[in-house]
This record gives sequence, C-alpha cells and structure tokens, in this order.
Amino acid sequence: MTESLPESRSHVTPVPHTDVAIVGAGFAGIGLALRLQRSGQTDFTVFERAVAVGGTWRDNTYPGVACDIPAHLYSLSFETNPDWTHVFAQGHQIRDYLERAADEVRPRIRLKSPVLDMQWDEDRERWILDTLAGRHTARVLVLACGRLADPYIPNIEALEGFTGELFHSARWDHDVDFAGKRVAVVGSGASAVQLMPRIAEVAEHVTVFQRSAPYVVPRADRAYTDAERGLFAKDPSEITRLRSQLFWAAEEGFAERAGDPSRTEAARDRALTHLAAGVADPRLRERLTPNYEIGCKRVLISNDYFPAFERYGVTLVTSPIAAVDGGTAIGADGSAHDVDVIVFATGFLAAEQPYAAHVRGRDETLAEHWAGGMRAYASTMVAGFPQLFVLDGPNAGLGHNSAIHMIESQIEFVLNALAPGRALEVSPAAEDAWTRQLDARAEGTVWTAGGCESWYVDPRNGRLTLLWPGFAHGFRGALAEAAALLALPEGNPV
Amino acid sequence: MSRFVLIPGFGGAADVDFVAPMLAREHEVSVVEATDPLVTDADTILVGYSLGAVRAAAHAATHPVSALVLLCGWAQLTPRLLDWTRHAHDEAFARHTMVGPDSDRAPLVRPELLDLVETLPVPRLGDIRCPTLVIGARYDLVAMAHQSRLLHGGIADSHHLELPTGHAALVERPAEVLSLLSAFATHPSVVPVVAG
Repeated sequence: MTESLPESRSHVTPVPHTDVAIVGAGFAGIGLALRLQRSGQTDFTVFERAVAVGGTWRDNTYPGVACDIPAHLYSLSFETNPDWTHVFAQGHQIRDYLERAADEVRPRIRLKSPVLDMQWDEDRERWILDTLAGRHTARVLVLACGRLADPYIPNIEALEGFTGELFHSARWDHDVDFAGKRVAVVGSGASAVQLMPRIAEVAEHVTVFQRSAPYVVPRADRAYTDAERGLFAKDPSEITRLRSQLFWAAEEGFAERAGDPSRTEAARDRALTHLAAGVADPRLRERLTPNYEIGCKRVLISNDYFPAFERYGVTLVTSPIAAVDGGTAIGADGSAHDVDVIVFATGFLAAEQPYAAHVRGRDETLAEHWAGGMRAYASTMVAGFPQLFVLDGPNAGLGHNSAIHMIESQIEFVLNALAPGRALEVSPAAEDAWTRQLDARAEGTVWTAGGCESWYVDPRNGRLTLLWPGFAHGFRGALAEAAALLALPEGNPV
Repeated sequence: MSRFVLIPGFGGAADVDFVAPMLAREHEVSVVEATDPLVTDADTILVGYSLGAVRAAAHAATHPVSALVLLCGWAQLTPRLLDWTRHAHDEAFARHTMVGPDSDRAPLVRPELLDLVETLPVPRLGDIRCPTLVIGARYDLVAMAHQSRLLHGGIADSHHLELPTGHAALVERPAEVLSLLSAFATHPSVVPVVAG
C-alpha cells in the first residue's frame, strides 16, 4: 500500500509503506524474511546497502575465509542444506547458501538501498525510513545490520602517507598479487589466523603484528562422503539428527568458560599442546602464548596458523603497529619493518554499532540511548523505540556455539511479539531489569575478569554488551519467557 | 533456586561431572552415590540415572520429594539387563554397548556398581505421587527405551521424553540433560522442550 506524506503538495509523491521493514540482508534479515513469508506475512521489505545479500559472508572474501562452527549447525534450521562438502564451510559456500536461501524472498529485497535515517513518527505510530532510493514508512522496524559489519582500523600515525597498498580483511583487494611482496598482517584474531598462512605461502615475507596472542585449537575438519551427502538429501531427518548432536556437543563448551575450573584447565591444556605441536622454537612459542585466561577472547581453530611461522619464516612482532613511515611499518615496540602491503585484520566496530546513530526514537537516537553500552529487553527490544527490534544486537553473541541458533531465537521472539495482542513497546523498567540481571551474571566471568581486551566488552565502561553470558539453549528459553510477558494484559512487561 | 539430589549410575560421581557443577551455578546440588545414605525432604528434586534412577524411584515411593527425574532407568529387572551386568565387567564390551551410534565417548563403569543391580528393590511406581520426568534413550541397549516408557506408564503424574543416545545419555549429551533438568526445575508441570 502507499500513502502520501503529511506535508503533501499538489504533486503528491506516494510514500511506499510496508508493514515490516528489515534493514540488512545477512543471515538475520534473510532468516526473518523467510519465516515471515512462510507464515503468510508477506507485507515486508528488506533493505540492503550492498549490491548482494550475504552480510559478513559477502564482505569477507579474504584467502582462507571459513567458518569456525560446523556448517550443518551454522545454517538455518528451517533452510537446511544437504550439500555442505565439509564439516566446516568455506566463506564462499556460506555466501552461495545465503544467495540460494534469498531467492524465495528476492522480490521483497531492495539491494543498493542504504537506509540513511530511521525516525519514529509518534503521531502516526510508524517508522519513517529515508533510503538512498527514497522515503518509506513501516509499522515495524527490524535492525538486522549485523554486529561485525563495519571494519575497524586502529589509529596509526602517518598511515595516510604509506607508500604501499593497504586494506582491511573485510574489504579484500583481489587485484593485489602477493607474490614477491613483503606483507604486514595487523592483528591475530579470527580473520588473521585464517588469512596469514595463505599469504605467507605466496609472499616474499610476512610480519604479524600481534597485540595479544590467541588461544588456538585444532580444526577437526573433513569432507563428507558421497554416501553421507546422499543420505542428507534423501532423508532430511538425518540433518536434524546431526544438528542436534553438534549443538549439544558445542553447548558443553560453555562449561570451559564458566563454572567449571577443571574444564577450563583442560581447554587451556588442549590449546597449549596444539601450540607446542605447531611451533618448535621455545622462544617463539612463549611469544605466541596468551597471557590471559582461555575463553576471555574468542578461541580460534586452525591447523596451519602456528606452523606457518616456522615454515615460511614469518616474523612475529608482539606489539601493535604504531606508525608508518613511507614504506616502513613501525611497531609500538619501536621495531621497523619495510613492507609493500599492510593487511588490517583488526576486526569490526562492535561495541558501538554505526547504525545506532541513524535510528531516532521518541526522545533520542539509539546511539545516545546506548551511550552507556548497548542494552535491550530480551536482547531485542529497546525502551523509547516502539515497534523496533534489534537482531544480533546487545548480548546476543556467543563464544561457544552457533550464532545462527541465537539469531533464530531472536527471529522466534519477533514473530511472537508480532502476534495479535502483544505489546510492541517495552518500559524502561523492563529494559533495566533485564540489563541488571545480565550485568550481574557477567560480573566475575572470564569475559570481564579474564585479563584480556576483547570485542565482547564495551571499552567505554567495561560492560559485557556483545556476548550472552550463558548457554545458547538458555538464551532461547529466556527469550521465549520474555516474549510470553509481552502478552500481559497491562501491555508492557515489568 | 531448587535443591537437587543427583544419584549417578555405573560411573559413580564421574557420570555427573558436567551436570553437577553447571547445575550448581543456579541451584543447590548434592551428589549421592548409589550406595550412600539418601536423605530427601519435600523440597528435594531427586534425579536418578541408570541404576540411580531405580534407587530414586524406590525412594520417592516411600519418602517425601518435590519432584523426580528418572534418566535411563528401568521398571523391571529383565534377564537381558542382568546378563549385561555380568558381561559389562569387560571394559570394552561395556563401553561399546553403553553409547549410541553418534557418540565416541567412553563412559566409566565401576564393577562393584554392576553387582548392585540385582539387589536393588523394584520400585512401587503406583506409590509415586510427585511430578516426574521420565527420560529414556532411543539407543539404550542396557536398560532399553521401553523400560522408561513403562516407568512413565506406572507413575501417575509423569511426562516422558526420549533422547537420541545410548544408555550413557549423561556422558553423551550432558548439556542437553542439563537443559532438561533446569527447565523441569522451573516448570515441573510442563514437558521441557528440547531447544537444539
């Protein structure tokens, strides 16, 4: 349906209206779109700023990009795929999967449509979205913008004067040929661990700038046999059975991070044994040994990161990069390294999501509301922002299990909330109570007291705002109960 | 916060080395081995696994408990089970027959606990009045899934679930069992939904 703007003139341009506007066409946006359409709610529009769907799996195309969670678990339960070739999927396989999944809702996806501003219209009880493609209105706004979407590049003195080539791992320049090049890899997180060995095998020399050493455990990957894939295709219940097995095994990983010192110790031993197996030189090994508790930062999986240092003579600098002088990268430790290419594997703007500045609720922007760190009732609804849902936002991430399970829990919450007779706004008291409970649960855990700096924690206040400090099944249960409270006769959960 | 008493199976306390500490994050938990004295009151959620489930059921028929969970237990001592306990002194035999097709885990078996099976009193299921969650295992070659269905049939106020594991459900899927116990503690009258 279309309606005219309140300030309509004689030449009225009708403003398209959609019941549910979804911003972002990654896993969360496509997942919600599929569920809405399959439940018969077809009045929705997905706005995507890029030229294709796929979110983080569209943006990250660096060599070696792959997922750390088994493919059958890292996919939508209502859109399974019998054709995963290996236990762990490569990035392009996940992107292709999302492209295929999106086909079913493609007419309702608007690509190349960045949403520049989202404003709550109190009088008409709807959201006004200004996109590059024009103005839209929507009864309900769902922010499915992801949490690892906008690359972060640290402040580095004289970086603009760098004479070589530089780019972020999520904005890979495929025209750059690394053969014969001296390359600086800045960072030692999930992306760096995957891409460094691939660059090292072709480059003349690689230097890794490591702010803090990661814990790395073996990647237990293998190809599925033709018989297994044939069975998945012929009997989808086999996929369900495998997903269940993978999910509950992954859930045990939470005990390593909270509540069971003997399991934490076993996990630490496993990682350090893997390090010892991969690096012969004891001095190098020491410099690759983390100085914080395992689980504080994301535990990485790789079989070729550690061996790459000795196999390809990779230089390890145990400090961040501080400055650039022409073609020289200078570490905070004062060491100088001549390089032709700098690759920033430095992660994303996670604690302060850029989209929040463009969402204006009753009295403030979402960025203002989140000045003390992201917060939301049920990790999904924000006080003062009626008829709005945030997917993948505050305390909806996980370190030990599939992010897709968390997204599906939130999608289910949204579908519950959109049912007739539910409140579509939460009170500040409800949001406060939820936040206090989570802050209390996070206190003293490995994420806040483990002795590391991680993107799980908001650096402005030390609050654990990105991670759910519990089991994945606990998140689903908590959201189901929170959704039920929306149906209280008084309208708002308290 | 609830008060849990856990009675493990043939592995003794090792059976609950995941569930007990994780449950203890939010509840009061004590582990009572099958041979230890057992004391409960009207606030106790009594959880028994394998031969621990048989002991728990027998106890709940004659003592106060607020709720009961029976995991991979049995309603009758069958010749097949008795035969298994005799062969299960062979460690490899026990290990291979206790886990389901999806697991490569190695549950512990304490030989002295195998000999207990014959001496356990058969529970009078009709005397169990508390809300009870009966959890069987689809690939249980030891107790057999059907025995859990019989427990469900004999207990008045019971719900029944089946896990896709062998008899060693607590070793194969401890996190899933934990989720069921947590959900049952919160809402004993509702069948827990398996969230995975």
